[in-house]
Amino acid sequence: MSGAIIEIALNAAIFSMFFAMISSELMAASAIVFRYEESTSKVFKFLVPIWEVTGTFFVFYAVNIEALVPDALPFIAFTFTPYILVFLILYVGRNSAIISAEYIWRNRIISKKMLYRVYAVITYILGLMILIIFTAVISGAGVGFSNNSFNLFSFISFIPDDGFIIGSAVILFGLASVFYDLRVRDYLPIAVIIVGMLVAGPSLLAMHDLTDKYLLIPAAVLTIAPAVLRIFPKYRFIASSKLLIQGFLASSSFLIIFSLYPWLLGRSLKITTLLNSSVMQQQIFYTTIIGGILLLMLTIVFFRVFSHVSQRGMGA
Amino acid sequence: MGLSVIGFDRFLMGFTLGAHILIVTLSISLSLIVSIAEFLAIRKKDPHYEVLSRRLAKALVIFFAVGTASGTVLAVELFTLWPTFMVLIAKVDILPFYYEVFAFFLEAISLVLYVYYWDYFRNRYHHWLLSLFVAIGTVMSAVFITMINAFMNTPSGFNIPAYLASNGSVLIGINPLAAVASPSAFVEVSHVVTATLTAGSFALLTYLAVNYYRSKSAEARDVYRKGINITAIVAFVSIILAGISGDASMRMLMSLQPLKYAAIELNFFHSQANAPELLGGIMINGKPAYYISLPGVQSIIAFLSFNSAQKVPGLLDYPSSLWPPLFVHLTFDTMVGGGILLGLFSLFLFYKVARKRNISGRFMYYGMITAGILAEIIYDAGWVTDEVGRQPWIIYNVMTVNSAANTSPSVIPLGIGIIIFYLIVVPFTFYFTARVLKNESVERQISEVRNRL
Repeated sequence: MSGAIIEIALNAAIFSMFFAMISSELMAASAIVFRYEESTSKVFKFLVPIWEVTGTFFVFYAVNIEALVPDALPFIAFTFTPYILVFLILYVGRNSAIISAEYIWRNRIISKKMLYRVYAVITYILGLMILIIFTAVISGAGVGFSNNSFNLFSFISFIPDDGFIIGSAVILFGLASVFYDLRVRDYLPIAVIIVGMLVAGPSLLAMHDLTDKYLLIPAAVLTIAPAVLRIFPKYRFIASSKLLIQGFLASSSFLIIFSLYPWLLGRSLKITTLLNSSVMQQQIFYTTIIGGILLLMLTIVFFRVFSHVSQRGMGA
Repeated sequence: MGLSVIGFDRFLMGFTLGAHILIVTLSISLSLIVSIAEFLAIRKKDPHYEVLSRRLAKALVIFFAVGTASGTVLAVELFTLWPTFMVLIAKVDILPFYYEVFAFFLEAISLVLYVYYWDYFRNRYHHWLLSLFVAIGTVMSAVFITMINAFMNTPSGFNIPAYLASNGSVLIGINPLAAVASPSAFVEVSHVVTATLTAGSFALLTYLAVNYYRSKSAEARDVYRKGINITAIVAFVSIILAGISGDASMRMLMSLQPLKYAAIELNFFHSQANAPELLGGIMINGKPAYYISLPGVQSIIAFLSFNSAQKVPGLLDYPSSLWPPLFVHLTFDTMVGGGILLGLFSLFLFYKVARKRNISGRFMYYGMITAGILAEIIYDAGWVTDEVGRQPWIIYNVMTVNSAANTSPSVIPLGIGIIIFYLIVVPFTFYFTARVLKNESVERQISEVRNRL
């Protein structure tokens, strides 16, 4: 059983990293939509190099799910087919929009700003779709595991689902100004994040009878910490470290996922009953460790270069 | 309804693969050629090579952006359209997909650092190393994905008789590493990687040739001429290796997938010695017609002997219900015939480049353009031969395509959406890349690079 916990923890960790990456894009999308001019100096130098890596994390998570719970694949495929295919179209659209925004030449019809806004809107929708599927898997509302069905109306009708999605979106909106150091009053991000937590937290508790609800406390602390640290000049450098904020977000997300363990779909499905064979789990574990070291090294190099370039004031 | 949805699943998968191939062939060759160009720029302190690598890197990042998205579409389509297939893959042979993710990370993060922080590195060799990582990541991605395809052709790493006897419910004797190293893996990977590099290099050659002939300044012509030199050499080496590995593939098919071999050779007979080679030919009223027969040639090529008693497999050894569509013989002929033509042209171009001869003139111009188009046709023909030649199996002799498919009709409207979207995105990507490069003056880039040097 301990092997199963490790495999599931790895999967949760990969999702958490992906979530941290897509969150930084969702926050960028907020900045682009509401403060485009400020984004050009503060958001793009981070967003432009990393959006490709977010996509890679998505693939990483998708492959890890395939390896972790192969028997769940027909369920996912049949239940979420329309959502997955729409997601794919939007995903290609997102990549096309942002790469076009990077290199678009001066012309009368399409502008850089317009393309970035298209990217931002698509990213919002993608983020919403990810949150819908994630929330559905937690609460089980609208999901028929035995007959491979998903009823969006039933899902939306279950208020805690809506609360969790809205609350999460509000938290990310509040964090955006911290992450990208946008010019807003210091207390505002804290207030927005607290509002988000007050909506998302109780919703999560109502969605699922958590195995360990106390894990939500450190998760909440990690989420709000960057906004609080930003107030104190002495600790502001911590709040301005993107790697650190992403680490906080990933850890927070990991704790939330692990508070459910081993139950999904509102305690109606035990994930351990779907796991791959132990021999495959062992190989996946070794590969993840070796690949993880490579990934860690690459990430360190990237953030080292990024911070040096930021200090020197060179653009990406 | 079930069958029509399956037909749509097949079409959607084939279409997405075809579109994806167009982009990734270029990505793979670009990653290698950018790396070579930058290395030469540093070694020779040559601004032309520097400009070439910078320009092509920009194209690479655009193709990478769209290529990764379409690669993700394919990865997700695999389990959306073929869930039963992916369940077996996930239980037995998921490791190559998993390895590929890390190759993908290597490629993505290295490319980001390489392109967006070009001028950050004081030691240029450190920057060049990143291009090498990009090339390694790109090629390794192709290697790992091909390993999955090799498993589909020659499955291994689990107890197949027990699986078949239980109608797919008993999966025992799983050995993930044996599945990774399936019997055809090495030969197939060798052929796919070299053929991909060939197709991508010739496609790139088309772009370079067009710009070489259209350039008005001598400086710009020098940049493109140097690009043609590198690409012609890469194309020449890769097409030779593709030919050698292709020959090995055919020999392997004879022993591991004899029915597929018989179908692509259109061997409308029981296995026999001294078999003829058929050039062209289609099935009319259940028999081959419109072909040229070269007596004994197939056996000579297959066994490298003029009087071998060994037999080549024939279609009539198998029930016709298991035959793949026999048009694969034509796609195979297209691949081999086109490959030979391309090889001859490549040899000629290599001679010109190696002897530093003039490559101006209409013949070379149209030759390079035609070669680029032909290379993509050949490459696609090769994949069609491989995939259609395995029908009706998705995993050879283990699982049929029909039993693996998602039969939910909800696939159809959204699948049509994906197709329409691709029809817009792929041409747009090529147009956009060409336009971005065109907008940036080569002469100005050269003078900027000179100032830096």
